[in-house]
Amino acid sequence: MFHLKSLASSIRVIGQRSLENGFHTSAACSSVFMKRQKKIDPEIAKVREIRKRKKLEREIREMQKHSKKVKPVDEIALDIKSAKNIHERTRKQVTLTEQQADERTLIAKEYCRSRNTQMRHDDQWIRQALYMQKKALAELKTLSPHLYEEAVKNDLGNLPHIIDGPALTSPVKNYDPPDGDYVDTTRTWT
Amino acid sequence: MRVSMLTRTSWDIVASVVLQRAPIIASPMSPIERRYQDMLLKVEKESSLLNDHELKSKKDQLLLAKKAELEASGKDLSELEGELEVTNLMKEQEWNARADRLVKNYKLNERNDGEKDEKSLQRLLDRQLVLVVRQKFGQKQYASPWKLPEIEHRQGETLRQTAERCLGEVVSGDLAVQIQGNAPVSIYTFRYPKPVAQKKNKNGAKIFFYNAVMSPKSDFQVNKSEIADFGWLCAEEFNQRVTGDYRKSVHTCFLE
Repeated sequence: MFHLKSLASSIRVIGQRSLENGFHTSAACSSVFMKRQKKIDPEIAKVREIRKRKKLEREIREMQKHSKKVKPVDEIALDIKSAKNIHERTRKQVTLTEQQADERTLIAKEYCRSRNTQMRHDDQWIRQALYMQKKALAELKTLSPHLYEEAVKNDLGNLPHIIDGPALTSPVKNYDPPDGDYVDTTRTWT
Repeated sequence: MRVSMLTRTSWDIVASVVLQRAPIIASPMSPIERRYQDMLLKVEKESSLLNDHELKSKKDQLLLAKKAELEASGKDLSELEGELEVTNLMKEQEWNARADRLVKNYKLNERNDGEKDEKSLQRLLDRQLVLVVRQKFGQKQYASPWKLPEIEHRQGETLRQTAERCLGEVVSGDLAVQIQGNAPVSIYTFRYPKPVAQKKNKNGAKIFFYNAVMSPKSDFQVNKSEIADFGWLCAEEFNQRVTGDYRKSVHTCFLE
């Protein structure tokens, strides 16, 4: 680290000094080893220049025409077919009576409370389960340190653990699914 | 050191398995959940736009009114030709009939609430069930009180292996089951009555519980020579059947 630092500072010093001394460096413009440029008629050079420019412009135009299209976002894309008669699609405005509005608020509040209770029960359950397991392990440690060592080892056997369901309806016994293949209809964008 | 050696020798170590059948179908919504869902659906409908089907329904209604008007005035109905062939009402009736047929054919509504047979795995589909047994422990005439299946620990195996052996003793048949974790989830201390304690020279047994969840597809059968009686119980039934500290020590195994 020290070496690097000192090197950097010395370079800076040299650089400053060279500027102070009026030394300038620039890229070599010519040398004996470089190929001699042919002298061209300025008229022809101008024509060539214009041709080159036109060609580039044409290429740019082509590229802009066939440039990559942005992947559409289906969620915000307008459904043109439905948008055409959108004025027919509006529903009658519903004005809630005070009683109805109150009722809705009360339902929302009650639901909120029920979720809160549920969450507290879950939390309590988790704490209880952890406490029970800790207790069991502590007892096991006093009974047999060897068994304790075995018990606290990681069990990677059933990881990742995937749980399916429960579904809304029970599985159909002896269900014979119709023949067919899944066809992937996902659009791809290159 | 001496104390720990004493305690080590004066307790039997027992592993017990909480064999569970997870709920197969979701439990029905509670009243407040249902009311909240109804409200959300209502709000969503109010703030939405009409879809194509609803537009068609509206058009159908207009056409039907026109038809009635024409019929009333005794005019020709030819101007409505081809317009009222399939109304939405007809479509909806057909769809509903098909849905009813499906539900009936595949018994989709069946909840099996009436299933009283405790030995059936198809009872109480929306509840978590736990296997409770009356074990013989190798004696022909004996049947223990209702409890979770258990087995005594042998020298040289880990507790988890004991639990696996316990499952093997209790269950016969092709069972897809996995014990969860190497560590026991709970413990219950059982003190032997005095004569037994003196005879065995042990204070009692420390029962360590392991959770095991059975795959619903497995073919479950009990080992008749070890199990005198068994049942699949939900939390409330379990609490009735099993009492005291034993119940308390395993109540976290019910995840409800």
